[in-house]
Amino acid sequence: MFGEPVSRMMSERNGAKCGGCGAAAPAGDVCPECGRLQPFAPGSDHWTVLGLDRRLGLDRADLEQRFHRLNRRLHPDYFRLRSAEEQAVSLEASAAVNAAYRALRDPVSRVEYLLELEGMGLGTAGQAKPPADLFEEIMELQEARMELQTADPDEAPVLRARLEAAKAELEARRSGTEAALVGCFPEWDAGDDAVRRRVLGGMRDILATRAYLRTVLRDLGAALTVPSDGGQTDR
Amino acid sequence: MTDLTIGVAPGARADATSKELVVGIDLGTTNSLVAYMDRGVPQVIRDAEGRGLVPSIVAFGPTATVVGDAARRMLVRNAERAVYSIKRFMGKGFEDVRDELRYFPFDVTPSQEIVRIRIGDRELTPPEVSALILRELRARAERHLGRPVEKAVITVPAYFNDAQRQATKDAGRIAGLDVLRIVNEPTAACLAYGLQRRKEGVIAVYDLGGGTFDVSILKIRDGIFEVLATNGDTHLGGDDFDRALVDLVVDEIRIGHGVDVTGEGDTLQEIRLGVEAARVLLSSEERTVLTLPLPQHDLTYRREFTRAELESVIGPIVARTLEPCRMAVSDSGVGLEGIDEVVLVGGATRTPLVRRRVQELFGRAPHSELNPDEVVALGAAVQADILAGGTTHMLLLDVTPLSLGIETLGGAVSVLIPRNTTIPTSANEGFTTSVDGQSVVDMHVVQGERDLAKDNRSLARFDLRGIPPMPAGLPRIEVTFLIDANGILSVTAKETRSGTQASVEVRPTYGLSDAEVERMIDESLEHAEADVRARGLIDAQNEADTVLRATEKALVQGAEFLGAEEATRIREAVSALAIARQGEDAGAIREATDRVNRETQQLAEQLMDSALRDSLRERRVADMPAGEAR
Repeated sequence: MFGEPVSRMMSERNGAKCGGCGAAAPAGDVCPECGRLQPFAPGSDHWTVLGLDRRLGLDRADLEQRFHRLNRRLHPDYFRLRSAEEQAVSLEASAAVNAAYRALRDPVSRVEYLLELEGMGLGTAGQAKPPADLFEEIMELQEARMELQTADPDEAPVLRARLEAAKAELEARRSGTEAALVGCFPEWDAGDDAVRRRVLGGMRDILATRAYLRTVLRDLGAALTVPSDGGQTDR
Repeated sequence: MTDLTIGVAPGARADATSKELVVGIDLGTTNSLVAYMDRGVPQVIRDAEGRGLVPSIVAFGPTATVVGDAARRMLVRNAERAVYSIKRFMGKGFEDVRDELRYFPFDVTPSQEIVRIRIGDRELTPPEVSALILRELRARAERHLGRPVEKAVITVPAYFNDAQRQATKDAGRIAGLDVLRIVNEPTAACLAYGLQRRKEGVIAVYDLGGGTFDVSILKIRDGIFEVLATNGDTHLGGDDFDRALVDLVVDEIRIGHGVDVTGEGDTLQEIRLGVEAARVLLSSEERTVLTLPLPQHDLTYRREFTRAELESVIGPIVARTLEPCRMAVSDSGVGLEGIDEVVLVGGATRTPLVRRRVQELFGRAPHSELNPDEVVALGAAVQADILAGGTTHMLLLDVTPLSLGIETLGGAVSVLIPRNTTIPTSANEGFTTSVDGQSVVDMHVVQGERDLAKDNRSLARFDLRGIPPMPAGLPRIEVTFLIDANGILSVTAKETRSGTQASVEVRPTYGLSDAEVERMIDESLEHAEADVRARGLIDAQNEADTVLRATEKALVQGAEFLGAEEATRIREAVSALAIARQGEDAGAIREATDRVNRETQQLAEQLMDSALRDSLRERRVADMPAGEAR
């Protein structure tokens, strides 16, 4: 008799009510009253799912711990003999936790996800941007790459060596972009809206460079490995 | 409390603490096993002779279908009616297996669809054949545990694609099992090791079975078994060692004796079983002699094999396992130096060359304390117990082995779920229409790592129906691809602009529709009944023969006690039984047998009394100690 109004009040406060008994129940957890598994609120972002504030600076070990703890609570293995409805909730909630962990554990995909949430996603690779200071060098490389395909045997080793060296340099540069991204994290985490927008724009540029380098590196890699068969089809 | 053990067969130890009984099944290419969790310890269920392995062979005899050792015996006598290595055909199309059919004695019907095996006038799909093996394992478990077994966990190679997993699940359904989970074999093996040793760290599992190869890298921490990466080849195993050896022997017979045995099913089976035995022997011996009498060709093939020779033949096959290992290590992100232990699973890892190559690659001696033939089934039993709520301190987080994508315009693949993503997992993709008023959108889902759709495994084509009529490009159909903890895909779709739930019609490329599975469940029950009937007839005939022999003997021995009338009644009953025995009506045979038994009852008692008197007299004469009455 007395318990009812209290639980109703609490559920009004944090907005989550058990779908089974109506008691206050946290999302992604079992209802303290009836033991039913609660789904995450529709549209919960990855940080919410893992019980975190939206921050870029994250501790990898802490993330892993949350990933394990949540799966221990809601993995489908623990609901295999329960109702079809609860199995479905568990399946979806577990998929949400796995997706959140996968996206947030890697700094690059973490930024990509944030940009997407803020409506600034890179979308397709079409937005890849060459780094201004490397523009000329990359143009020359593209030429060398083309030459390699038609080069005669005594020229080829020289071209090849040049391309190998360039590839190593670009690879180093590509891994440097990750460090550059991580370097932006404290500023974004501490900043107000205006700062955040500026930092986000900067990170977007870094990602665009990174995407561009990836394409160049892939082409270089392909040019340097002798094609084993000519079975390339339409692209 | 009622005693739960009432009615339990002797020797059974049903675990009374768990309400749900879920068994773990290793459905292997060469051998299959069933195991269960007995008070926290996984146990393989064995037959009366102590054998845990059931050869994965099904023989379709004239009266009954047999599985296991009995079927193996048919392999060399009636090869075209015995089916083995069916796992290699699961989830496959005829075109996929065409090239290896020459190694199999049974017929496969050419088609554009899934493999269908022809046995006499029957056609069976691989899930139906697998279901017969599962049914046998289920019966074995029921006999041992003394209670019905309806729920199971079945293992599959980690590198099995969606179609192969679905086919395995279908096989379970056809066998009358509720398949609670499809578990990856290397992961299951790791669970068994983990339960035993409770150690933490990063483990590489190298699993080379009869027909498939898997490698998985797992991280164990706080009872959570997290798969970091997996790779493999679902068409690589001990079978391939034997094939290379069969090819060698066939060549030598042709060159040395001028006889071509290709196309002789029974002869090829004899050679296959011969080289298999020699290969297994060479794991412990340095040399062995293979002798194959081939009376049908008036010759005996005889040859000494050294281990070095064997290794030169199988070397290239073993080498094919190393690249997947490197890929898995690279995908796991831990590097070779991050791997703490290497575990060997699968019968083919007994081969010394395999151990050597694995040790060279990983730079440490591999573990194989648990029987490599049984460890997967033991792990399946552990996973079964987790699902039944028994084991709670362990949890398995597995991954999807292959990238899942959809075909885009121009035939390229757009990846939705990359390989090695922890499952369950889901991905959303938006679709729209290209023609005004279009109400159906179709998409092609593929699995694999290649850039072009045609180079990957086609899983299914999906038709999204029920899209409300709108101008082209306006509808927004949100499609959700969900891979569950079994690694099996399901697809749902919604038109978000109108909120209509679009219906998804699946056309699996190499699978069975629900209706087909239902039909197969019915057919399998009919065949099971037919098999039971056939066995019933054989039993009745055997009993009739026993009774007829005993009666003939009694009529002679008991002549002194027989009245004329009694003798006539017995003779009449005997001839009635002899006639019934010729027929195929088990009921009639049993009735006639009962009649003979009734008519001879008095005679039997008199004979017994007389025998007892005789034996007592003998005993007194021999002064035997009491208590040994026979």
